[in-house]
Amino acid sequence: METYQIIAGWPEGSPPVPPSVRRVGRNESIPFSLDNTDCAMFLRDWKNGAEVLDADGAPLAYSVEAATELGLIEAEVLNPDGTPAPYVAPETP
Amino acid sequence: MAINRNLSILAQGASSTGNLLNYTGANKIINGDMAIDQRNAGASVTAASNYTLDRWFAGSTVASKFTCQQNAAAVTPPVGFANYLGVTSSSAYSSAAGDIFNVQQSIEGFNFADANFGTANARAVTLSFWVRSSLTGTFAGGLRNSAANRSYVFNYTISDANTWEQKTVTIAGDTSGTWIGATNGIGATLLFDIGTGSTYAGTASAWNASNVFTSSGATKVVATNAATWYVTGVKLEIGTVATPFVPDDYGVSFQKCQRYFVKWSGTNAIVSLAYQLSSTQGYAVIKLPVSLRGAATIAYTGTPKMDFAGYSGSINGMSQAGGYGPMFDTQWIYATSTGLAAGSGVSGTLNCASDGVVTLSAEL
Repeated sequence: METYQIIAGWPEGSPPVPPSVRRVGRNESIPFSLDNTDCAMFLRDWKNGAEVLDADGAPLAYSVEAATELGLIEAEVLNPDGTPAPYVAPETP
Repeated sequence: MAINRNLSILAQGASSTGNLLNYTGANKIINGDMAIDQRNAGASVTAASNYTLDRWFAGSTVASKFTCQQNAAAVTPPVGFANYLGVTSSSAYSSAAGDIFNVQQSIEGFNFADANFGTANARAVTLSFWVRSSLTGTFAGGLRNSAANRSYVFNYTISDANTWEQKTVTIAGDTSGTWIGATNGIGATLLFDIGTGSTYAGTASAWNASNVFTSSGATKVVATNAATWYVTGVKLEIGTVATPFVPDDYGVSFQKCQRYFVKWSGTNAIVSLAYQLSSTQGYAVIKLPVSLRGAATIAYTGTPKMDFAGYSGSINGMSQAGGYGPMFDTQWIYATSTGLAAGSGVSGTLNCASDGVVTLSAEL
């Protein structure tokens, strides 16, 4: 399996540069978007134990929280009793 | 004769109304005549789950067991074609049960939704292709949904070694399962098996509720050192009749491929205009030839450069800028570089210099 490394974003830029990921050894930037095949493969590999390094080179183990933080898993919205909350469209004026 | 939107009359050669029966169905496969090879420009590629010719993916769970090359060994293509995709086995490999070796193309949902798969209105599709192999016997392939839990396995027979043969397979529409419909995801994947193991063997000529794309006993190209398997004229169309393969105009075919992969290369080729931010940073806004399918992976090899006011900086990092939502017809690139003068606000170019290659991939 590939080794991946997170590329740090640059949020203060105009426009900002979001974080992305690359396969170590390649000059590339894979966006954190699940309609990108490379990103979907990264998430699959990460779940399957591939080595992933953060932007500083430290190992980053897979967890739902870590994947959610990268925008790869949509946080589930729960009701106060823990049941999934239905989507409610915003009111229009 | 009923003419629907899947049929177009071929006026060429029509000398009487009788020739109006020369119709052709729309092809769901892009680059089915294997004319476009942006990534490799005809060079051989060792299969390791990577793209070969445009839109064609070499599926391989074990590296280096076969190579793919446009017009491998330079045999004469079948009449009416100028190119083919050639697979050559690199060894005599005995596939394990879970090994995968195939050549495949995923069809975008927008281009397959009219098959109505997964509904009561599912329509039959017909696959036709030209194939040539140094081996003879029964070969297999499959058509699969995006979740890889609905698969149709088909067999075809190659009777004569090293001879082009045209094959036709009609596949009943799948009324079951989940097919994603009109989205930019995978509508269906067509797979040609060249040596996959038994884990992925299913019942031929039937829909299987599993991820299968070969059949028990199918010929394994990777099992014979230097064996060849060549294919071209791949067409998947709605209906039960295989109509003639009519190649797209080259420019049309090229643009269809560019929805999934765009490449800049060539000495001093300009990727886009650029804007200097500092002595180490710049932006480039790339106007794309066609709208990409989705979010793209940007990559480069060699040393592309940013040139500003007489200074030429070697790029050492490139990623996509954001903040403006999806930009599938324009890509805002952020690049880091060495060799620039101090300053900002200077306009220049992002270019390939002597050996740089820049690519955007929005493949399925």
